[in-house]
Parts: sequence; C-alpha cells; structure tokens
Amino acid sequence: MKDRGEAVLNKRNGFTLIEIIISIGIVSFLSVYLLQIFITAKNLNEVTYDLDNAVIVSKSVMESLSAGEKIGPDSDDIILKNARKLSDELIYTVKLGDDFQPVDSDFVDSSYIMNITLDLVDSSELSNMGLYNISVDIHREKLYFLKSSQNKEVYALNASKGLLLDIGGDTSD
Amino acid sequence: MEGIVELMKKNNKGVSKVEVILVMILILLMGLAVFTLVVSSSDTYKNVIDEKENLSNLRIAASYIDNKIKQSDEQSSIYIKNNPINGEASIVIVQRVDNENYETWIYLSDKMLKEAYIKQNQEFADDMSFDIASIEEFVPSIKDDIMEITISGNKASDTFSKRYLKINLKSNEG
Repeated sequence: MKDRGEAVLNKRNGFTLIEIIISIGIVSFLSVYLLQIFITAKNLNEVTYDLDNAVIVSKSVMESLSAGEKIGPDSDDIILKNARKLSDELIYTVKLGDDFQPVDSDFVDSSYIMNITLDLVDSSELSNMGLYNISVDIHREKLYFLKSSQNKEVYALNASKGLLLDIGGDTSD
Repeated sequence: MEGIVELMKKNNKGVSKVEVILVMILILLMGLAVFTLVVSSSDTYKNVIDEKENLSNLRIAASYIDNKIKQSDEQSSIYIKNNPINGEASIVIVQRVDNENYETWIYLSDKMLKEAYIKQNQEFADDMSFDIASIEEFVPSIKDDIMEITISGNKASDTFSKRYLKINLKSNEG
C-alpha cells in the first residue's frame, strides 16, 4: 500500500506553476504581435481612406475651377466657398474635417488642410482669361493611431487650366 | 488510501488546498485570456476586411463613373433620367454608333451600381445590366455644367463612407 502511495505521489499529470506562467507569457507575447498587426491594418485602412478622399476632393476642386467657379464666399462650391487667402500670393487654405468636408476656418482641431496655389503663367486681356498652374495639396493634421509623425502630405494634384482672371478677392478674415 | 494520506503527512509532499485553488485560478485566467484574444482578433479581422471591402467598392464606383463620363466626349450626350427599374435618378450617356443611338445607363439597383448598354428607346430590364460595385447610395445631379454625384458605401462602417464627386461637363464639349 505504501509503494502504491509513493507511486501516486511521484506521478505528476497536472500543470506546474512554472508551466502556467510560461504559457501566460507566450499568450501575452502573441497578443502583443497580434495587436501590432491589427493596429498596422487599421492605420493602412486609414491611409487608404485619406488617399481615396483626397483624390476625389482634389479632382472635384480642379473640375469646379475649370468650370469657372470662383474662390471665396461667392462660390457655389462648398470647398472653394470656405477657402481663405493666406498671403498676397494666390495661395488659399481650406480646413477639412474627418469627412473631408470644410470646417470653420477658426476651428483649431481640423483633420486635414487643403492648400490651393494658383500661379499665373499667361494672361490675355482680350478674353479676360489667364492660364494658371494650379496646385492642390492635402495634408493630414491629426495623428495616425499610435504614430507620432504629423502634417503628412496625403495627395498633391497639379494642372494647368485657363481661368477667368477675376478669381475672387481677399477672403481672409 | 489511508496509506497515501499517511505518507503525505509524513513526507509533507502533498498539494495543499490553496495551491490547487491558485493553479485552478491561473488555468481559468489563461483560458479567459486565450478566449478573449481569439474572439477579439476574429472581430477585429472581420472589421478590417469589411472596411477594406467598403473602401474598395467606393473607389471602384467613383473611378468607374469618372472614367465613363470623361470618355463620352460628345457635346450634350450626358443626362440624368429616372430609370424604369426602380424610378431612381440614373446617369444616361448617349453615343452614336453606325447611325444609331445607343444609351449607357449607370444606375443603382439592389444596393449594386450597375451598367446597361442598350439601343435608344429600347426597353431594358435589370438582367440586361452588369454589376460594377456594391454601394448603398447613388445620387447624380447636374448644376451649371457640373455633374455632382454622391455615393456612399456600407452605412455601418466606422469611417465616413460618403463621397462627393464633381465632374465638369463643359470640358467634354468637343
């Protein structure tokens, strides 16, 4: 009976504390990697969202300008209507929200900033038209999840278009 | 059995109740951690894939509509008409081929952006069209030579899924 008892005591079928601690360690280690993969995937989806929207918004602005829309409060285009002139040069800025729609220019925490730069190449006094190099670029202001780099350029579109010379007055407040 | 208990008392090699409870709690914790990890990973994976598919469908739809309109370079060949299938606004592009007018209908039906290519004034049914992309909303309108199109994807999506396209129809004039 004593021998049988000793055999039972020596036979260890269960988990030891060390084994369980090691298992928990491995699970934690794997979960950190999994979390990292999902954060990367989420950020990549956000990069795709930014790029998709930036392309559509930039192209829409370019199409509106080429259709004769003015930049400033008189414009029918909601983005061009909210554009504010930065300096004496023809550089306009629009603050955009998460949905890539304009927000109030005084709003500090905008998600994106769009710059529209017009550079006159050639003007014709007869037709009141001018050939402009138009540059539309969109920068991301908010941070990606767990990333520290800011003000990243999302997309830039350049084209030459013939525009009416009266492209809107100084719209800065 | 008495022998075992006797031996445990003698050698002090047994497993105390506290140790058993501690080990059981640890096993339970580990099981919970693994279960939570598997469930949350599968949920996150599903969300990421759904979001990716949603973005992809919106991109395909936007790019397709833009290309189709830019391709039709004839003057006044693009209209907005209500389609005969569900009566919603659709884009109609008219092209003349071999002295005959053909229409390309781009419309939304059953949450699917579709295209149908038919002879002008020919009656068309849903089965004559082919699918372009899965979207939930498609609202085209024309204002002062600018076509404005609103498309939106899965409304349950985390990110804003509306896209506002603008296309200058004047630049299509030949």
